Amino acid sequence: MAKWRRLENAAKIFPATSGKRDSRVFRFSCELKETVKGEVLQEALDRAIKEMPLFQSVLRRGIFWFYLENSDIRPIVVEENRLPCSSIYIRDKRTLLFEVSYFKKRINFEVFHALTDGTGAMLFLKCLVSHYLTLCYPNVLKDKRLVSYYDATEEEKEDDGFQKYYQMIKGKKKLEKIHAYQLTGVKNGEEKFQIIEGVLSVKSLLEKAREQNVTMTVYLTAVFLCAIHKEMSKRQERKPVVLMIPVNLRKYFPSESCRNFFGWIDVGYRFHGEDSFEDVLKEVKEFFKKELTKEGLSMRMNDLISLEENPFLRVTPLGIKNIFMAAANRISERRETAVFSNMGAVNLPEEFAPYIRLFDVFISTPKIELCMCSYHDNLVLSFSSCLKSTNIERNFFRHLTGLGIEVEISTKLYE
Amino acid sequence: MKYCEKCKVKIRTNHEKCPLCQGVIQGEKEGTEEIFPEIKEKNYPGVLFFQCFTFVCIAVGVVSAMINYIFTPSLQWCFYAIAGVICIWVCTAVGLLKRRNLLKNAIWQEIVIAFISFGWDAFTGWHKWSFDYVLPCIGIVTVLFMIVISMIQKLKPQEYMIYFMIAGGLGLLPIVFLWIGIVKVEYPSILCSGFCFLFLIGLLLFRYHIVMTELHKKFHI
Repeated sequence: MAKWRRLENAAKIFPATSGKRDSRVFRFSCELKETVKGEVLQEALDRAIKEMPLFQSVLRRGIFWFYLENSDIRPIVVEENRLPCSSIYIRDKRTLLFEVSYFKKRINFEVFHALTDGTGAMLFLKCLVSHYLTLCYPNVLKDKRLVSYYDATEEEKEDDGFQKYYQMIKGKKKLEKIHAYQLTGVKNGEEKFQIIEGVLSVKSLLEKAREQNVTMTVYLTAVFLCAIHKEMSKRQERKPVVLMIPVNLRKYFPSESCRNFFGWIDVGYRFHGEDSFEDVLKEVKEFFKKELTKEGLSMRMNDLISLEENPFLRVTPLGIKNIFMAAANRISERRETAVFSNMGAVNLPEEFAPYIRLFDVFISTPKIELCMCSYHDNLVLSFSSCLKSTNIERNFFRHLTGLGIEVEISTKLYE
Repeated sequence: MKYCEKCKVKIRTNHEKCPLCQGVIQGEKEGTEEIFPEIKEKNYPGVLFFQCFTFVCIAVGVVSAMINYIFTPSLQWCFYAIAGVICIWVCTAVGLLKRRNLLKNAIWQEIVIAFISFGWDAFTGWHKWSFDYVLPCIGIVTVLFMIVISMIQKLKPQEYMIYFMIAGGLGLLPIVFLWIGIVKVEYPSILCSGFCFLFLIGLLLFRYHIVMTELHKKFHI
């Protein structure tokens, strides 16, 4: 009998709200220094999926909730033939929820968010890339497989972190209602996410951040806020600019799960005409200090779970629940202007370094989203956006080049 | 590699203008490199088919109304024609919508056809033929169809079990209607429900564990 598992708390929203507007798919790419060989990648994928069989699942509908069921469909490597982040989950179709493709020097791992979060996906891509490289260069990399990089039992990998750390708290604080500034403009069209990514040196940016006594994330959050502010009119300044920043909960609540286990914080700033970059930076820094604590994150997490634990909601048939979840999602989207997702630094054994140029991430979005990921000294900042306008991206990168940082831009634009 | 003076960025992918500011850029095409392939827009033939089909349906309705009012204004037959077209359209639309899972499709069709026949029966004098004949017939046909499909597609238990159970359950409805007293011609309902009852018992007896796990999966709250 096929094994099955419930969707974890944060994952429940994704099947209900995925569609042409937001496919809820994200892509992790690894750019190598040489062209990718398809057959070898297939072999590497076969090995990787054996190591992480959790990913070999299909999504199915129950009467009350979706669930994941293990499947024996063999994942097949393809030469990239779909638009980045276009839908992977198709209703009623029992297909795997991820796809591995390649194009020139890039290995792409695209995955539906219900299956895993950024951390889980990165684990899989790392596993895949290291298998690929050891297969490609058996003489040099012999026995250099990362035996110990992911040390967890099958059960731990399947852990539902939300259930593990949920506490019933009575009389909890409600989140205040915020209407954040919303970007408008001509869109690229359904399932077309415009990608603009910049590669820069970690060192040079870190230097600038250190000068201001802040972390890179805080620094870039402030740059992003200001880049959005430049496109706002006086009238629009009445609403705050709010960035949603996903947080890897594993850092705060120990878990080896490779399923969804993330929370988020909302960082907002209310502009009043001529705010200097330093003002914004100062406030963002304070905000991170205040919000990014175990207590703050667990409050949000408990909030979400208590909703899921609601007995009336639980026994509502899935079809109706989906309508409510989609509506709730639309409402909660109003709280944020854009998303800034930091995947952090990718660690792989040093032996692999000569073969890998960079890692990069982007995600489908009904707004604009910035993802950040670094490998050695290569920091990749990728914007994905449903809007045709490139103004915010321009403002953002001009801010960085204005500091004397070298940036190399690559894009996927739509006519 | 190309370079934009205003943005002060190097541009790796090949562009005529700066992708950030749409300004003039310098440098040669040489050294530029695409990181995404060119992907052609997909055409879905199914969409065109459905558009044509919908248009034909509407046209049939409109034309029959026109003929009705020009040639036989005293007889209002066009409503039957229009209702018939709507029924055909609904069945086809459900069929297309659920095309990826034939067993699920069969359940939907069974329910849709049942309601359509109730409707026709009710508006044509309520002779109860929908309860006497249609319901038992589609009950049996659905179960047989599912068995055949799951054999042809070599489906696994977790893929067919829940639909078998639903179809078997729906097949018990005729006997309920007989007991309530709606059904007048008895033998089709007895045949259908008897058959479906045996089918369900068979599932329980020979596939007990699978039935139970499926129920647990589908009904987890």
